[in-house]
Amino acid sequence: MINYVIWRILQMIPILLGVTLIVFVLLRVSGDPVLLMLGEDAQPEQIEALRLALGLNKPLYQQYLMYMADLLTGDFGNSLRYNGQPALQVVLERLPATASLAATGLLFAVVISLPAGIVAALKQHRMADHIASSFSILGQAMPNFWLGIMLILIFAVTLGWFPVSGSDKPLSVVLPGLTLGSGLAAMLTRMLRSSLLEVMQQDYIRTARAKGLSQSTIIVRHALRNAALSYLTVIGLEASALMAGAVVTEQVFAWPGIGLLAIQAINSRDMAVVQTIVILSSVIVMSMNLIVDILYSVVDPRIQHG
Amino acid sequence: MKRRLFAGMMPKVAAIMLASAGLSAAQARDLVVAQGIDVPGFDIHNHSTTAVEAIFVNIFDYLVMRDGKGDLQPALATSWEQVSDTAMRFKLREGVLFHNGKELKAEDVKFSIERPALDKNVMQNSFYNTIKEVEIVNDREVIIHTKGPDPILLNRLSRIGSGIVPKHYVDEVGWNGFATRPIGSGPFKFVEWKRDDRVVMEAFDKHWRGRPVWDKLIHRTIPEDSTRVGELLSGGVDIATNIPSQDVERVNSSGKAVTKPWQSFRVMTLFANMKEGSPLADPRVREAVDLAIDEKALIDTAMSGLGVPVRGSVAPGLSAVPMDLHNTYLYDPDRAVKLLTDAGYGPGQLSIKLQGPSGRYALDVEMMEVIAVMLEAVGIKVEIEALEWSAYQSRIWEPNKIEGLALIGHSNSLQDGFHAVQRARCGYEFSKKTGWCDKRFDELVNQSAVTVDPKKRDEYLSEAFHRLTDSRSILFLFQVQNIIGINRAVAWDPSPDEQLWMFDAKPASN
Amino acid sequence: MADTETLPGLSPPLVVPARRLHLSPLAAFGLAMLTIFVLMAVLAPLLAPYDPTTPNLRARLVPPMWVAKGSADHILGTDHLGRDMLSRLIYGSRIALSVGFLGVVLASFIGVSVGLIAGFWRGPVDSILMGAVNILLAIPNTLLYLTVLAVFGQSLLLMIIVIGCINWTTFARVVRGEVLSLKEREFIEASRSIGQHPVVTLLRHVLPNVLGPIIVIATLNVAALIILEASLSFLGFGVQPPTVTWGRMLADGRNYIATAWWLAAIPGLMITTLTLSLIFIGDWLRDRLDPRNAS
Repeated sequence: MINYVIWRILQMIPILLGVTLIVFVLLRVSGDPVLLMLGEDAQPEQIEALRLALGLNKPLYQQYLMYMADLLTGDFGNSLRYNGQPALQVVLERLPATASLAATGLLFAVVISLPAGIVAALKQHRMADHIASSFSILGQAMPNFWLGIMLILIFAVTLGWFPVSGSDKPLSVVLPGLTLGSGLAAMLTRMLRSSLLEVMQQDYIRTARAKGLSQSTIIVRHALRNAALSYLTVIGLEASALMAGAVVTEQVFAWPGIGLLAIQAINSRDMAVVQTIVILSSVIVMSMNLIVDILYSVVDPRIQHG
Repeated sequence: MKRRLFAGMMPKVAAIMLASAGLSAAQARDLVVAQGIDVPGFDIHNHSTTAVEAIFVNIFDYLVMRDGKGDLQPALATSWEQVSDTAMRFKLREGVLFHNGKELKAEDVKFSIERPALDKNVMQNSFYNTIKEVEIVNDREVIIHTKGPDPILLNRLSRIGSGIVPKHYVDEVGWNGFATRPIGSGPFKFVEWKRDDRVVMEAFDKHWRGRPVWDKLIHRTIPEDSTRVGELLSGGVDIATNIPSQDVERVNSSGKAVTKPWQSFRVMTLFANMKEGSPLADPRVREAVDLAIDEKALIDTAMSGLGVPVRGSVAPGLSAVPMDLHNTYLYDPDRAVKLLTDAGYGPGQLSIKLQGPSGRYALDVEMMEVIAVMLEAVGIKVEIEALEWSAYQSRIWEPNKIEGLALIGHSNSLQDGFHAVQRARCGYEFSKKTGWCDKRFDELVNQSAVTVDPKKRDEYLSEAFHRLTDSRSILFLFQVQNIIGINRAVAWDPSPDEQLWMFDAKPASN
Repeated sequence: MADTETLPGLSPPLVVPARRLHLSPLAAFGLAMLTIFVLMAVLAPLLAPYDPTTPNLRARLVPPMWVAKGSADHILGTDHLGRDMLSRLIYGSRIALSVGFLGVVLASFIGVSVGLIAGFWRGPVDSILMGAVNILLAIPNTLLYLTVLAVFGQSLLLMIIVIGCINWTTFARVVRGEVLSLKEREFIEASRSIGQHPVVTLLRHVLPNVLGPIIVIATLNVAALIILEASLSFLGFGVQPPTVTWGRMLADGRNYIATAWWLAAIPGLMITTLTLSLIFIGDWLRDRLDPRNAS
């Protein structure tokens, strides 16, 4: 098991190298960050001076080597947008905000999908099933930002139940969490419903039923445990989508996390920050996948990692 | 009505929410201001955004400051006099304290002004490099020496980057440290900065003007327009900038907030590519384009009536600009058709590319779409190319990159006519984009830069403005007008210089 | 939400039809809607009553016909520049469908090729290709889309290419898995022994086997891409005007939700209907084509 984890962590290294290379090349062949920093009022001599100061006049491969060397020493470069603050610090201080948003989104997704999926499976082809299924499919067919804006309009502006935006009040996380978690909730509901239906076709469930156990006992004791595996799989696979969804959600709700930072950084060609975000989020995604893999073997001891 | 209904349905929740909202407004006396942007940090000489300085004015003091009418008034400097063509003496206010309790002295002024003037690596250098030296006469008096006569020295000292910072503190923590923990002498002192979220400031008890009425001033960053409006309507923020024009009625009829026009010095223009081979090299074609655009209709439709048509980079509140170019425009589609025919283009034979940013200026794409319709009405085919701001900027910034017409808006942070035209001199940024060079124009602008006599200076600049307008290398469209939304519980009048000076904001008397 | 990372093959069908050969009502609805949308796109110039990009400054923000102050001249009303909403929707269907379908066609082409090559040759080729897959899977896709579009500009063609070049990993993984399992089977050995080139064998035997999953993944992917286009527009990185897209209409209309609801509601409804149709069709196809469901 430990060997497996170490092996998986070692595998991340070439992937991370690939990630840095892709993003570095993309950003360096792009526009000139200096012009964006200086704005419309800039003078030519300012532009030249700043370009020189940032080492943007050196050949690309040199800039990349310099960058990689810096990375290894923990220096992720400095943010252009934030006047030379260390990029790593700028990104890391946003991590808690995005983590709490993603955790809330995940929580909502689980809290919604568990009962919805179970009810839909129990009441297959009946009203409850149709309602749960319709909502779950709508959740996947609606752009995230649209949902967020509607939630603000209804629950924050009109009803005044929740704050419109920001992250400072205790209830602030509710609407963005719901927005972010909606897609995942929809997917998990569909998944849970059909895997429950599938499990319930199987022999041992039929046996249990024949023994006279109630439907709900069967679901809780047997079927759910078996559906847990695919449930976990989806959550693991969606880790990356959760990060991606945070970009849109945070923009809508002015939630000061990594997603909002990413948009602003891309807009201002803040290369060091964009690279740090991409590297960091790919580490997070890979770690989430690893955790899910480990959870597998906890849930299902039959799976062994050699 | 709706609210009451739900309060009935959910009495507890509603009661708690309403109570807490009432509390924070009545007792804590916090003032929350929201804009779409965040500060880049508090290295005050390394940014070039008016909207950022709009926050800084609350933390830092300036030697001179503009009042609600846009006129320069004493601030840290109580008086000033021209001692020679190249030197100006400033008497400093006594008993001014920085937020850390230390007294503000002449050495702080020297330190703060000389950095942008002498350090070529700071962003604001080009606006201050006419200054040669700041001489300390004594603790309460400085003389600012300029390289040549500088008629707009006071303009320079009351704008982006002219806040006075404590020398001893910057010496101690460095500019990097200062950038995250600034100290000034303004009415509010810095408490906390959460990036892309908020800057928290609190009242400075010992400010020389007196203590502000607000305990806390909070600046929030909310990039999404509809969310910012939502916060204004729900009472989450007290003042919100850049309200989309379509929401004006909604805000005003909400009973919670009102909108006020917020003048901007930004003027929207079309840059014309006049280089050889471009159809716009022909002055008749440029005139035709100018005459084909109905600026009034453009403002009324694309901008919901917000804006003033102009024929130069002029606005009320700017010094040394010819105001006869303000609130006027030329529109004569018949003559435009004739000019095009004379130039050899029948209907539909001329096609021009119109480039512009998408999302940088309010309703920028809409502007382009309306302009295209107007040009097509006189027989010019238009191909619109809209780009995300950073892509657009890198596209048009390089010389010779504008293909036909390019939509560009320029502000004027010096608030003076010289800055509006100086970049159109041969070899400078505007001229590189359009290809327009005019010796007489250059002479006039250069003369104005060193002429102290205001009357003569006005004359030079007025002629320069008109030469630029007549060249039609840049077609001036309109002066932008923004909208600011203000909670009814707050009494505050926006000033014409786009600053969010919150010392003047007071709770509205009910 | 914009689930660009969705592995549709893993999210099971909503409706398990009793007889798999029959069209479920939902699938029938989906197919009908899709047909209508395709016809709309193809016949746009004939159907649209107005030019979709020409403002009419005298008829701004006219509500839909059935609302008070609506006008029969503009069935679905006009936008803030007086452009006919119906015409814009009709032309917008072209972009929605081409981003979705062409993006997926390109993605599946790249993905299938990579999957075939990696699965067949194994060794270093496999490692490199699957390395690329893992790199793309590790980066949250929205970030990658945004960065690439920010760097290279935002034309329709570019967006399709970018989508194709980023979105192929699912296809590659499915095909590679299929190739690996097929290689063990006797008929591949057999065809080799009769002198058939292995590539020919692969194409002849592997492709038919993976076609089912690919079509299912592709269908659901089209739906995800249509949502993606809207999200990119929202973030300011969509296809730029004057091109009319549903995503852009929805994104622009968001500022009018409280004042002119139809600007956002109508394109939003279109996007939802189209994606729903595709999800229904995808579910139905999976039931029909996925051998695992044949019980």
